Amino acid sequence: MHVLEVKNLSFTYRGEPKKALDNVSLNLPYGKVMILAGPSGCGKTTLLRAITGLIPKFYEGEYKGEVLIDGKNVLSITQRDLVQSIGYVFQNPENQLVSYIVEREVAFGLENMGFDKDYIINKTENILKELGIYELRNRPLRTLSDGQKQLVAIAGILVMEPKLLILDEPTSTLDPAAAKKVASTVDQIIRNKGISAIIVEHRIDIFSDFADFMAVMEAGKITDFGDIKEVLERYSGDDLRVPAFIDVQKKAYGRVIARKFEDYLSLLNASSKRGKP
Amino acid sequence: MSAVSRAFAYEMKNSWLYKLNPYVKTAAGIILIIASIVFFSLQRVLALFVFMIIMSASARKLKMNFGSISISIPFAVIIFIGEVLLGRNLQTGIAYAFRFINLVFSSSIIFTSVSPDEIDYMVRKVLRSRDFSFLISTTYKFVPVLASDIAQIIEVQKARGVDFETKNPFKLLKNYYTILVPLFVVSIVRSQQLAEALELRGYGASQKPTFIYEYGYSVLDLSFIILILAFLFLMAFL
Amino acid sequence: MIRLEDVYYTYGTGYAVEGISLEINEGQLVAFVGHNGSGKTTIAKLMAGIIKPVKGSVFIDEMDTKNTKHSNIVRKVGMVFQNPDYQLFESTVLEEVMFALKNMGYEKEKAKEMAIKSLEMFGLSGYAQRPPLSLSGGEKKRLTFAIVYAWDPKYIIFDEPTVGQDRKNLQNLSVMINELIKSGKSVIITSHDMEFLWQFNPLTYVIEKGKVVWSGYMKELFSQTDFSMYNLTEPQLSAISRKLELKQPALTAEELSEVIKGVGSI
Repeated sequence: MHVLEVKNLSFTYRGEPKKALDNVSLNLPYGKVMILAGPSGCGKTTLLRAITGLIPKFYEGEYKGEVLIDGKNVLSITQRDLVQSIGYVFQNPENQLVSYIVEREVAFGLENMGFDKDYIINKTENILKELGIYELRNRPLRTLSDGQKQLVAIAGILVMEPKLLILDEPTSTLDPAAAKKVASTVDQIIRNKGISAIIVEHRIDIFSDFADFMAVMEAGKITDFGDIKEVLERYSGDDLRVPAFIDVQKKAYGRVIARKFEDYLSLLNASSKRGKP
Repeated sequence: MSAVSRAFAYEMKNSWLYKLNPYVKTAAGIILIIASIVFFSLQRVLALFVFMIIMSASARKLKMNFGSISISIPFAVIIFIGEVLLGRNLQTGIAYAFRFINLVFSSSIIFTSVSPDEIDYMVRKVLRSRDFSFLISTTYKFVPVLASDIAQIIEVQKARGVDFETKNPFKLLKNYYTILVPLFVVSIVRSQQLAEALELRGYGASQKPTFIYEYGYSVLDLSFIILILAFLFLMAFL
Repeated sequence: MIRLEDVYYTYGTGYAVEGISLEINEGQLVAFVGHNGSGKTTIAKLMAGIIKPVKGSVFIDEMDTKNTKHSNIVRKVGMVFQNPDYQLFESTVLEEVMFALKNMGYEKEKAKEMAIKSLEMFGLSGYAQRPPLSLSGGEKKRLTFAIVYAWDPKYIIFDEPTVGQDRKNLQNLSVMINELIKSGKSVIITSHDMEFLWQFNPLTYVIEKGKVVWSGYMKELFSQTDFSMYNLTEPQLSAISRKLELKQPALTAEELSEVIKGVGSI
């Protein structure tokens, strides 16, 4: 069984002539990380909305197909079950942080579920420590940097222990140093906890070292899906910000030899100027 | 943060005032506001002013609350001049001016010492409505975000040649229209995303959502209540 | 020339920009880099005349921004902001582009002519009568370029132009930047996206806590071994070039792959 199964999903927003999703199918195994990539307007956000049940709850339109989370249809599970199955981190942390101080923000989801006070405080403290932001727990959110806010937003989702974490362009507003910190922190946590993740990113290089799979979308369709190295090797379009080192490998050797940038660098030496490393 | 916004925005400090029970703080603040309105004599008005100065200083908030005093001074001067022009004596004029300063000062004390979490707690308990308390705390949270949006929109429109410094009131009004539409759009997008985030974080999933903080009463609360009552008792003799 | 003379700026607590002096000549491509909150956007806004320095002066072609009518500064300096939603408010795309032109005093017909030309430049002619808010994210971004391009400013500032952009939009942006430089305009980019900037090897100012901590060309920045103290992420092509001990780092993947294949040399 997969943590996520999307079966022949199509969706057209009400009043729109074109399909936003066109017969999309994909499966994500438990504990694996997938990058979802594609040009602006290709349907990535629509797909995420359908996976989380926001479509059709918040968005009307013509809906066909099925989305199963942990074996259950997303349209028929309770809000409680849904929240404990999927966590969604939005692009702009400002649009999802609702509390005054960090600790309360992280506890928000568990408070909503009505869990016991001590249980909530314990879980909150643990996740803050795991993400390395425990010292921020009494800080007002407005005093935090963008990177810290994003980590708090992620903490607020991870504390619910979802099986599938969705990150929608989580580093788009961050500088590379903050983005790398968020990426490596998230990677460490989700690997430790066996959480699956879908990451929507234009800057594929930020997460390409951590991801197992990649799905490429275009005009509402999945045009490729598979092991990230193989997908990047096959990709010949110019919509994706393919990491420069992948580009270089494809042009120089005709294939991707090293999936991780550090691995590629370690293969190189001065004599590699000619031929393969 | 400007001095003015600092005077009315909650900011945590390590002092006795912040350790009080939220009901006690709020009730005391309301009493101070009412006293600012009903005290007319110069002795009582000045006594209240000094009392609040001592309270604010001992709670290490005087710098924070001072902004409220400084913004109220120009208005207080106008009130003083107005009262004198209306034929009242200087003493009455000063009393009326200080009444206004006291009103703003007492508001500043209450706003800066009761946290959004405490407001959330009290509204939930008193009104028995989680939705209403969430509405208040979200409003509080997003006011500075909205202010930041407005500032950014103004800058963007300035870069397109919009003149927000024109002396022509009609032109200025027309120019402010260029802020309204982007502000609406940005706010609507934000509201939509917030609603989705709330749904996905289980808002409404339980009929009895938890509140993780507890606020009890202590000797400090009792002492403060006695102090406030003693002050009011003293005012009866002034 | 844009000239900053010992410029300071504060938002209330501490200096966001502290004692900056620099010059930007016509036809130059200049990048201001640094992490979020370093002060680069503040510098951009000072150069665009949107904010005025609290100490020191900003001169645009010898006009002090503190003493010059704002519309005269805007005529010379155009600034493209990160978020298109912060500016779109007219009922059609055409009117949106005409808006700034009318603010600058152009007659309606002349403004319309200039706006149409600018929309053609960015492939938005077919959208002229559509509401700007109905455009996709990428189209809105192109519209913000068209808005600034319409009045043909001498200096164009792009504030974080790569955020949230796919490769195609970035390629279009690269082409536009190269054409602007070729036509003699000065282009100023504030960004933390070294991967994008690397292809241009721009004159680079590294900004930290409101001060210039390094200046020079980007190739030189990353050939120093201590660039990490500025908390910058080295572009991958630079790192690969260094590992290969190339005399000059390659600026594009094509260039580098030719060297590796043994066909080219740097």
